Amino acid sequence: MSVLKLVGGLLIMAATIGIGKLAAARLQNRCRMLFDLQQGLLSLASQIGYADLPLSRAMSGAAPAAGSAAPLFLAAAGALNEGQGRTAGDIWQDCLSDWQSGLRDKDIQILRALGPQLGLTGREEQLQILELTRLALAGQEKEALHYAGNFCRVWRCLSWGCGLVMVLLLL
Amino acid sequence: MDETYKQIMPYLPGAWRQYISDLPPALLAETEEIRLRPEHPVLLRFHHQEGWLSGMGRLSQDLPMNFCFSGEDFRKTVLLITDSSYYALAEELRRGYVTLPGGHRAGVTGRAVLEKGQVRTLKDLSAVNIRLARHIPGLARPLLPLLVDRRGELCQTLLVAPPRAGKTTMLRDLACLLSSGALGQPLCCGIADERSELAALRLGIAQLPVGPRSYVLDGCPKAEGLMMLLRSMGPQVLLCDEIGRAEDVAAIAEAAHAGVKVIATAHGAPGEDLARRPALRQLLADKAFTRIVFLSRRLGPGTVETVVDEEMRPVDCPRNVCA
Repeated sequence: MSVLKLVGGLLIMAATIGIGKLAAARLQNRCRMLFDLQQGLLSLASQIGYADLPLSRAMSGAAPAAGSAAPLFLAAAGALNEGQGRTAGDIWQDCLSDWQSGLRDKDIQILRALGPQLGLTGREEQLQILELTRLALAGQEKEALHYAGNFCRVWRCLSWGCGLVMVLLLL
Repeated sequence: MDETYKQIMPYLPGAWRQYISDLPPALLAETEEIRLRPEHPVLLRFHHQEGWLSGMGRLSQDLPMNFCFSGEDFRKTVLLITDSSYYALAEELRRGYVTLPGGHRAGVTGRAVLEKGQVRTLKDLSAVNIRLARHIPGLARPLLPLLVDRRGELCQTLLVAPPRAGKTTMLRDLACLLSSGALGQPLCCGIADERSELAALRLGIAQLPVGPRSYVLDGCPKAEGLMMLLRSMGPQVLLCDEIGRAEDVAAIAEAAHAGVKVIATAHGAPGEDLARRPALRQLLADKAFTRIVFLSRRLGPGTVETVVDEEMRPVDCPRNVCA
């Protein structure tokens, strides 16, 4: 009987700790994703500003630097290559809608605002637009890091605490 | 739908594709230009007429101000013709056009951005003119026998015509025929395609047929291009479009002295005294061209009006060649 109780208690602890870790990881993922997006945009700016590549090739060239955000850049590059009478703005919006990123709406809105300007203007304007978007994402990342710093610990402590309370109550 | 239209449809915003593709097929096959301006009706130009698009598949001679191409439609068109890479096409925009797949050309106007007094690029585009390129196989075949001398050798040839009279189409077909062996022995042709009109090279691939032994130097100034081709490809025939500058004249003279046949085009009207044109005066005085062909669009693009020799004497012109 005591062995069963021990096993049950351990399972409850594992589940609550797991939930806590998952919630904390989600917060950290957002920070990493926002950082990777900035790296991707920096690389995209280099491809446009220095390599002078067309947008489809610039997007695929930027993907390796984008880390966890690479699927977004690769999807956009693929759709731009196919063409089919769609503008970069339309393609970017569709790719953002399909992308399972774990970002918040506010982060996605910043990326959506980039869409209508993509590829429409001269080089200097494109670099400015990309830099503005990157700075906006950097702002979001700062906020996300602050939030994650506070709430990751909260989630971890809460998960241990909840687990222990439940085990003690059940015992 | 006409194959040419299929190629340019992706460059028009969604609804407008339908409006245009609903035009009668005979008209579609005759379309030469689609002129687009923001907040303005769409103008279509055909072989012998033009009309404003006034509804789905309808044309009007009056300006239909209630059926305009919107600013948003225009913005989309600019994105589509530039492959959403406006910034990467500064050189093309500086020249005033973007070459589309299939050899079609989107001419653009807008605000010029200057750098040290030279146009660096265009911004704030105000109009797009999509010019449909149509290859007419065999257009030059009836003309070809008039371009050889008594020994059966190809003559130094100048094609003269006003804009939209088929100079480029004729020149392209001549390259096709000569490099395919229409004169018996296939000839190696070098094409100095400064404005990407003849072969419409895109990523190194000719979008329009120029023949199996034709080598294209794209986007290079004609004078320099002719010399580069002469040195690099050992051509038997050099072809270039729209000569007019002093350096073009010098390069043609140089090529002719090197024993290479030159076929060039120039703007001009049938019957015009070409010797009054400063750039051509020297070439004509030197008898650099032994055949001068005047074209018009009287019976459609590429109508041969007259063919003359270096003394401006008419060359025997069979009825099926000269209109």
